[in-house]
Amino acid sequence: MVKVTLKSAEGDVFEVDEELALESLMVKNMIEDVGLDSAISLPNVSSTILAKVIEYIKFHMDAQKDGSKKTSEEIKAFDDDFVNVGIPTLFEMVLASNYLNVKSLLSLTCNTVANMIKTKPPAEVKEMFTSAKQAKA
Amino acid sequence: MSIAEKEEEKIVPIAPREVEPEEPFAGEARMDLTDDLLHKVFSYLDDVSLCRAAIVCRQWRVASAHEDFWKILNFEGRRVTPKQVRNLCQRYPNAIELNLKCKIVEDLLALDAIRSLRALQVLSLGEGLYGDPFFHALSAECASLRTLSISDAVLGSGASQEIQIRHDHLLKLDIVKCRVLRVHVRGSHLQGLSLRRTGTAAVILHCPRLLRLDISSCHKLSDTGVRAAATTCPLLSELDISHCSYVSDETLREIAIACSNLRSLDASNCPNISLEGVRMPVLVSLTLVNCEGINSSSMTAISHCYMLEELLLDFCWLLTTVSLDLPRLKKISLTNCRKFSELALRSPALTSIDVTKCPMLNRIDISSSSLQKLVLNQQQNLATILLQCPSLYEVDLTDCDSLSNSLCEVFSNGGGCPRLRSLILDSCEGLTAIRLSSSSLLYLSLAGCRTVSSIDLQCPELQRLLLDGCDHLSRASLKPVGLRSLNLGICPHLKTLVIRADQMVALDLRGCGILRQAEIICPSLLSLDASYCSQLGDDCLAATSNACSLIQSLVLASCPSVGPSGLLALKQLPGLTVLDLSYTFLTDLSPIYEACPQLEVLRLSACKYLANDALVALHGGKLLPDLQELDLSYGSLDRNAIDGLLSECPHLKHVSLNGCSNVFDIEWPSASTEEDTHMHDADREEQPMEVSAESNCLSLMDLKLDCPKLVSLCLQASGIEEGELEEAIRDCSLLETLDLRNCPKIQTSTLVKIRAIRPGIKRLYNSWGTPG
Repeated sequence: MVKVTLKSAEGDVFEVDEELALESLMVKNMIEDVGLDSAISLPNVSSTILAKVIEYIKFHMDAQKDGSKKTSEEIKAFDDDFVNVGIPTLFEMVLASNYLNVKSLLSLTCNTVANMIKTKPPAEVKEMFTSAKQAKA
Repeated sequence: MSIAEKEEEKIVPIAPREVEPEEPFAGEARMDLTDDLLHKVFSYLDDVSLCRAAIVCRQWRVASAHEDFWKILNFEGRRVTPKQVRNLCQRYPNAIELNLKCKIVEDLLALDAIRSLRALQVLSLGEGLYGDPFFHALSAECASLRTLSISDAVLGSGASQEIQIRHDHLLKLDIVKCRVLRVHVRGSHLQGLSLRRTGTAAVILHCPRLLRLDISSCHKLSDTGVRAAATTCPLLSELDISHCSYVSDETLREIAIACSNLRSLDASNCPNISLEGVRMPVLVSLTLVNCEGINSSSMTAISHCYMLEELLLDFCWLLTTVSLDLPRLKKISLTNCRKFSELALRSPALTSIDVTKCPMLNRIDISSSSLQKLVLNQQQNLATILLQCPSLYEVDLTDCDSLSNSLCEVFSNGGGCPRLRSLILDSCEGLTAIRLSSSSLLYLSLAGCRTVSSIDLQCPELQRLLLDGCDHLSRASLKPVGLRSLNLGICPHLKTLVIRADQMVALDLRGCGILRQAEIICPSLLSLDASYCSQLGDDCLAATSNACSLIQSLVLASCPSVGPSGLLALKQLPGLTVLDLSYTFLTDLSPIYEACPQLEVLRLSACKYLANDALVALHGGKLLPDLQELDLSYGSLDRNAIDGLLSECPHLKHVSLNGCSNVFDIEWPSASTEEDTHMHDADREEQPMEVSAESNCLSLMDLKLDCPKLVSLCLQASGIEEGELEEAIRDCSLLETLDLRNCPKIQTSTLVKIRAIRPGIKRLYNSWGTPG
């Protein structure tokens, strides 16, 4: 199995299967352009977020394989748990999935943000998102 | 939150004054998400949530106001001011759908709104007053409009109450529940028009391409009005004139000629039509619910609808006979036709028939190669059923009391239902003799057929037969059937039984007290319960043993007609391990010893005539070496016989001595294996033993136990005394459970002493309170 080396913003190196790396259309294009020889640098993605993205892709790739016994409930439970994070992290994941061009993760994270807005009264929505922003700042 | 607040929130973000630069958060840094990503997030939101998002910050406000999210402006049921409506419409001029079904709207506001929305395609209007000028403006200025829907409104100004709608691009127009006297529609592309429940008296149409016209419940529309409206639409394919009570056959004939493409007609609740002389050769769907004029002669017209697929004639109470030969008919519904008595259909495509609540229905004759399921419940007068349905697999005729025995021919081989798998004839009280020979039938239910006295089945595939409540069944012939188990004990009047079932493993005849002749040919039978079959004799037992040589368990309790010769015939059952002869007058066990040497369980409960020496042969395990369980409860064996048995038969694991009146004391020394005692189940299994000297042995006085591994001792209702008990359990060091309920000679003080002797006891049951 061919390996691909990904380098996060902090310079941490992640070695993953090529098959997994190709799920990111951005990485796929990079590989097509520069080949597999050197590490692919991802200056916009922190190590924490990159690890999460890899975890997500890996789970879904396994779940789609033949012979996988994962039920749709189990997959949903994983997704729910996966996005059960603070708003700053969630935003970072939206940005990362957009940057890396991982369609399913982008939909999942955007939908999660949307659901947060949907289920709260307006004042709480404002408080939740502005305080998240301040914390970030 | 009230609706008003919601509305406020809805309007606030998109009103221009709210986006002034001096907003407190105007100078804040942008949120972390880019505009593109925010757009994507917002695409998952509805309009109310978008308004919530808008208050978070300036970036979100701007993003939420993107016109992509406001293609549809829906004010239905919202409390908004006319100003807000105007503002919104100006703000999003590219909206394609506008719903103004709210109280504040009148025609001026609606006009302003649609003038702002140049791309508007769908417009919905509700309560309000819309005069003719409004419709003029609509026609002139709203060229992109495709769908217009107005409900609960008053149309037309002044006394004339007349409106004209001219629109060359409109495709669909709905004017529902409106007040208007005259409607004039000119639409060169209009395809669908509905005037449902609108009180119009005249409809003038110039709509050459109209396909669907709904003028149902236009009560003021006259017969000629209906005719004038429909006949001007040559392409009409669907017409709904239900509840137009003036419509006549003459009008229908005219419509049939003018609209030669008519595929669907709903003329329900039109009392004057009988379809006389009406010819609609391409009609696919015809609905004539509650039409008083429809009778059997109307079927002539229907029989000319060769393309008909769906026919609904519910509540046509003058209809008596339907006889149709329609090659494409798929569905027919005739519910609640009070006089309907005869149905004859030859329709190869038929898949659905509904004739519920037709109390006079007497005869059904159906030929269909598609029908799979036929359900005719509670047809009290249904006497004749003729079916030619090669695909039919399920028939349910529950509660059809008038059906007679000849019905069975229909469902037998050659009767027209070659694939029938399931037949339900529950509570058909007109049936007395069921005679079926079917090679396809898998399931037959005769539950509640109280009048059936004989059944004769030749159904080799039959897997399940329900006979609950067949109280009068006296003769049953089941040969052959594919049943695996059958309970006939619920048929107390059964006299004659013939059964041939190669798959049958369990047969229960328990309680067939007058069964005299039983021919049981079930070579796979493992278990036969014939208890209380008091008339079954030795011959029958011999014949059954011969034919069913695999029987392992045989229950002949309370079968007094079985004698020694019958028992000797059990020789033919080499696998017999369980034999129950309880409640018989058996005196001698020698036929059993001879015929069934491999017995493991022998039950002789309440065999009061058993000789005291009958069990001597068992001593030492020479005869019946495999015997493990022996039930002698409620017997009359004397003490010596029991003592002898207990001391000489160490191989027995369970001996039940419940209610043996002659038991006074019991002494059961631990024999070679680690075993134990006692009256009732003396369980000699491996290790921990359970023993109960149970119930009713009131005369038990003396108990000697030498059973160090005993863990459980039950002495319920025994006459044992305190001292004896203490002595008995002194060596039972493993005893955990002791049951002393209802022992008259045991006092509370005894319990304390027992606890002292055997502190290991975990459960001590007594009649004075909670277990210790």
